[in-house]
Amino acid sequence: MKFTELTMPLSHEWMPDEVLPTSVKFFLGPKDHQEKGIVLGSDTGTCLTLPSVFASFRKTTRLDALPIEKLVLRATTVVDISKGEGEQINRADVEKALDSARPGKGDAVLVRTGWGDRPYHELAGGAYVLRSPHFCLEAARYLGERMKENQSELLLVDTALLGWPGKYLIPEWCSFLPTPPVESEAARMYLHLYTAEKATADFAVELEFARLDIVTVRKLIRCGLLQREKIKIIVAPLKIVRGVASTCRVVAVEEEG
Amino acid sequence: MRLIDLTMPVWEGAGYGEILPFTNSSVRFVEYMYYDKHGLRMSRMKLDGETGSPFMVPHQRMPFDPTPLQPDPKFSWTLDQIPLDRLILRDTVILDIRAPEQHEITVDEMDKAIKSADFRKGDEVLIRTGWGTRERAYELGIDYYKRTPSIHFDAAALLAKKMDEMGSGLFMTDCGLVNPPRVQGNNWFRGESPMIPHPKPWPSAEARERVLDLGAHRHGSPHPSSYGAIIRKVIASCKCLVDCDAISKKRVKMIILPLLIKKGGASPCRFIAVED
Repeated sequence: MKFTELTMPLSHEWMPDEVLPTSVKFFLGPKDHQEKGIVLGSDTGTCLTLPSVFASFRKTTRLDALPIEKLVLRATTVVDISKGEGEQINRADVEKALDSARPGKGDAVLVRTGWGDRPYHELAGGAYVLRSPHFCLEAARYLGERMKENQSELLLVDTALLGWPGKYLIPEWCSFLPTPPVESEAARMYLHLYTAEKATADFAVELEFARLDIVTVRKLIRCGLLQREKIKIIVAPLKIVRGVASTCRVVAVEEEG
Repeated sequence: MRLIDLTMPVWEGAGYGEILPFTNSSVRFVEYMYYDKHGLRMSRMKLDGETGSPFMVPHQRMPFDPTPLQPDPKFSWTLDQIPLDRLILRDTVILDIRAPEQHEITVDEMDKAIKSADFRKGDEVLIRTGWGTRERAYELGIDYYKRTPSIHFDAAALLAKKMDEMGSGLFMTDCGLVNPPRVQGNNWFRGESPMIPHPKPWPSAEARERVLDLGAHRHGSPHPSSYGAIIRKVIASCKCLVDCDAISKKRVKMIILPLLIKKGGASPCRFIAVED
């Protein structure tokens, strides 16, 4: 068996995903520090998000109740949709890729765009997030429905974002120049004024996947190292009581020979 | 194939983050996006390397301090350097030592468990007392760690020697603490002068004052460290696993996945047993 690490390392020096005010700065505190330990956010690094992250679906499964059979050694089909900087994944892309890959019944789906194979540490100015490929709403709906038909509820992607929070979050936040750091006073003030209506518009794609009861894992890296279309995947989030999202470790298992 | 989750959950105020002065600190969650205001929930989480069921390498203080906990460790990998094939589907022997609360596993008990187990070359080791359960951890809070069974130094030294001989790399246990509470919590919650009422952990004033008294972040017990005996010989030492009695066989394969912290020394970890 061949194991492949698909997890973005958590670096105390720099993380490429600390761009938007919805992020938390990953921090390691040494033993003498007031904040000794580990500080992270719901979507730090490679992260798993449950539908229950949204108020509309808050009565659905939480992290500590998620059956491990859904996450561990789960049969997975790798679906190739090659995309570059800022490109949108549309419905035709998804249809063509699924028809080609033909996921087995119940298979998790790993969408490989190639974005996670880019040297993200060389992308300046938040480009890992702000130039990420992403799904349009129609593509998300189509993918979600095809997965649902196929009795699949686990979607993994190598992009930084699922949808494009371009109605309010990105244009408003990026209009601050210079862009303030995450967890800054400006970030807190921005979120204070950020309403549910704005979030619904910005996270329409994520809400669509949640409506279809799909668990998502994003910010995978190195998926280009996978040699097979049919793999097994291990997803290991923190086991947070009543949690709705968590950083996680993702490893692919491929049969050799 | 049957999967069994042996991972201690993470929750705010969990006993493991409240019991010790330094080695583990409180779990805190702060919501900064809310269901009622934003229509979604996002949290800032403050954890510790020893939160939940931790995975701790000999160079536990990395990336800030390369000094190992014990001199001359057999392995020197940080979290991001451990090859995946040393973490995934590892053959693991279960050493059964039924232990009631507060019991310190003796050298004779350890010897008997080793001799009666099907311990093969290259096996990882899981010491199962049967005491550690998720339900008990939820109920007992910090008392879980006051009452936990643990491993006497002589027993730990014997196990470390055996693991070294057998080429084992990972030590796991369902004990809440590896060191006896009288050692780990010396003059904090056990010992001749435990602090009453129980103080908060680091960075409390009491924890900082303890550093002044002891001259360093250490337990200050005159007794040797069981944990220290083991950590010298392994890739990582892992405690606080739960519900190990759900494993029906004497040997399993283990999937062990800590967070991938760059140059990290300790992390909360997921532990999954796989039975054929």
